[in-house]
Parts: sequence; structure tokens; C-alpha cells
Amino acid sequence: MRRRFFNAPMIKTALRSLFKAPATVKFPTAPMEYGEIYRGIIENDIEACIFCGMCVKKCPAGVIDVIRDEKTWSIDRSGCIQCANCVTNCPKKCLKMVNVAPAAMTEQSVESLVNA
Amino acid sequence: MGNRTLIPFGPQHPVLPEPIHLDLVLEDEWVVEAIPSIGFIHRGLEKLVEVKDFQDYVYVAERICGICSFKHGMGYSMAVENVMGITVPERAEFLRAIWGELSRVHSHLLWLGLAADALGFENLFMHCWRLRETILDIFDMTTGGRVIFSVCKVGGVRKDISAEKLAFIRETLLGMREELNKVLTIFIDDATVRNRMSGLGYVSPEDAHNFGAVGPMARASGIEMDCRTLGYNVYKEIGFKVITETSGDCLGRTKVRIREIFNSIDMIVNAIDLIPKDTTIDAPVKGFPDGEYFARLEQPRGEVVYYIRANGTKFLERMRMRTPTFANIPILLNLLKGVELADVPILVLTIDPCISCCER
Repeated sequence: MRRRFFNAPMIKTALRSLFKAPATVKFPTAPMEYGEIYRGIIENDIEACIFCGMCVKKCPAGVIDVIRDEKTWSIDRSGCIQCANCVTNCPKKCLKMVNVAPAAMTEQSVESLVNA
Repeated sequence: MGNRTLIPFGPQHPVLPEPIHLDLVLEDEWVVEAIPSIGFIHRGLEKLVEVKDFQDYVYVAERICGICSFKHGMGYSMAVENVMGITVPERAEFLRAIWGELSRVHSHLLWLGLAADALGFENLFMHCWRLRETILDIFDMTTGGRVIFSVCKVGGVRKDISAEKLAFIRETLLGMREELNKVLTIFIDDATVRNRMSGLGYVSPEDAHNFGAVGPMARASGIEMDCRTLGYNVYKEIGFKVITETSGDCLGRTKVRIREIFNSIDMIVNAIDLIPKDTTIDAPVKGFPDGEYFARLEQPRGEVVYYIRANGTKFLERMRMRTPTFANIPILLNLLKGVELADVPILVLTIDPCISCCER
């Protein structure tokens, strides 16, 4: 039993790990790196938007709202599930997904963009 | 007869991050009966199918569970494709196989980590999750998400994987095999794990069959039951093997999962070698589904059944699913009878419970 204990494979693995760099990242002091196609936040080029409402129809979470008369496009970022269905279905291709994670928020708020 | 005590286990428990509640009837230290109650996180996702466009519902189906999310999206898509008579392009089938098997590796590594944690083996837990991180990075690189991929769609997949990325995945997985070998042999060889799991929670093949166990739970008792043998996807071409063990105990179930990880890695490498060069990844979806279909597929935890009924409109009439956790609860209750209270957490964990799937 004593011999078996010293042959335990975990000891080898644990000792090897002592001399290796940590597998974790020192967040938040080290910057976060996002992949090229990381599904982050939705951005709208409001100048190009025609307020057709296709994104509203296609949003599975129902967090996008469009008021055509007031030329307003709004999104509740806390409810967005980052599926990019609105981006795929946008006829003018003015919606895009940016590879940055949504910022932490303390309260639910709706972000509105107006084409003045 | 000793003193009878009733101990509530869950829905919040330090060992188990899943909200299942068990009322354990104890006689001294021994469990004589376990009475389950589920329904703490029912979200009504099956009902939602009646108000969501059938193509957009894939996003909801994926979010039923965070671990087998790809397989949920794929199961739903397979059911709709069969109702509509859509043939998925071959490259899309291969991509689905690659992502599906990567999900299996990630799910099993997660489970192995949790099992080590339940045994109090923190070091092993960390190593399993460190290895799992490599798979999550591959998901991040190929789909844009680490847990929820949003790549499956009715008729195929949304994103292709470039040849360079496929070569990278191949190299990474082959390199990972060495690491996995070193870490996962600890589960089989180390005396700490062996003494704790060997012979614990024995399920005979007859019990596994009679109680309708699925997935690694049934395969560890020697039942060759795996939905990947049914012929869906490209499993026949990429070297799929049904992994079984005969011991039927906790260690047997651990071994099944460990060997499945290696089989999945082999399958992914084969799929990368055999993937067609044709770049078509989705078939056009015309019209609305009309009819009904049962889709069966193998998730990391076992067999999942999707039933859909469509009426020719863009909303489905009914969607119903039977998840592996739900199928494994009866056998869990059976094997809890007669065990010590201290063994309950590892036994509940041994079925790899996913209550999120189970309750939708």
C-alpha cells in the first residue's frame, strides 16, 4: 500500500504543475482577449437603418424595439442572447456583431438610437 | 429496526449544483427510500414553440441546457428536417458530428471534474476543467460562443470551419490525448478514487433494462445501447464504437465516460480527415412543416427524444422532448436504496443529472 501511494500518478501530475505557468488569466488586470468571430454586442449603423422592423420580428428574446415614425431603434442589452439572428436577417446589413462582451450593468436599461 | 429520519437533499446542495430535491428516508445511516421532487426550474420552453417561428426556435432549443446545447439544437433541427423532407448537405453533417463530439468531450470532462470534486479531490477537478478549457477555446474559435453556439439551423449549419482551423483542431486534439491520458488514468489507477467508487452503486443489466436507464448509465452495466448506431449523421463513416463496461458500479460509469472521450477524439480526427471539400453547408428551407416526427439522438448523458407535430403554419403545434436525466431518475432512486448517506452525493452525480434539460 505504501509503495502504491508513492506511485500514485496524481503526485507526478501535481509536481509537474508546480513548474508550469498558471492556466488561468489574471482578470481584470490582464486584458480579455476575444476571438475574431466572438458573438458580442449588437451595434446598429443608425444612418443606414430603414426601421423595417425585421430584427424585431426575428429576435427570439424580443428585446429589440423599433418605432418607425420616430426613427428610433432600441435594444435591451441585458436580455439580448447574442444569437445574431437579427444580424443575419437585416436587409440593409446595418446591424453588426462586435467581438466585445456586454459591459456589466447594475440595473436594466434600454439603449435607444435615433436617426435625427 | 433503527431510528427513522427524513433528510432533505437539495435543491441547493454544496456537492450538486443542480436543483433536484430528494427526501431521503434514513434508518440510522442507511437510506431506505428516496422520494424525488422536480420542477424548480421549469421555464415552459416547450410551450414557447407555439409562438416562435419554427426556424427561430432553434435558438430557444439550444438554450434548454448549457452543456448539451448543440445536441438540443441538432435534435430539434433533425425533427423539422425529417418532417419537411430536407436533405442536409454532407459537409454540414460532418460539421455537426465534429461539434457534437466536441460537446461530448467537454461534457464528460465537466462531469469527471465534478465527480472528482464530489470525492474531495480538488486537484483532479482542476486538471479536468483545465483540459475542458481547450475544448471551450475551440468552440470560441469556430462558433463565436463558448457554451451556446448558435450554429445549428434547420437544413444545415450557419458557420463553416476553414481548412486551417480544422487542421488546428486536429493538432490540438492529438496533442491533448497525451495530457488526457496522464490525467484520466488517475481515475482508474489512483487508490483514492478506486477505494471510493469501486463497487459503489451497482446496477445489474436487468435493473438497467427494467428501469429504462440510458446513456453511460446503461452502458456501464453492459447494455449496448447507443443512439449513434441508429444511422443518423455520419457516425458509420467516422469510426464510432459502442463503449460498454460490465462492472455496473460508479467506477464502471467513470470508465465508460473516459473511454468515450478518447473515442470521440478519434471520431473528430477521422471526420476532419474525411470532411468533403464542397462548401455547401445548408439546404434551402421552403414552405412550412406539416406532419409529425420522433427524432432520437445520443447526447453526452444518453438518449434524447424529440417529438414535433406541425400543422402547415410557421408555428409548430406541439414539441415534446424526453431527456436522458428524466429517464435515469427511476434507476437512481432504485440504487439509492440501501446506501450510506455519505455516498448519496456521488451516486446522484453518477447519473450526470441535468435538471435544466429535465424540466425545460
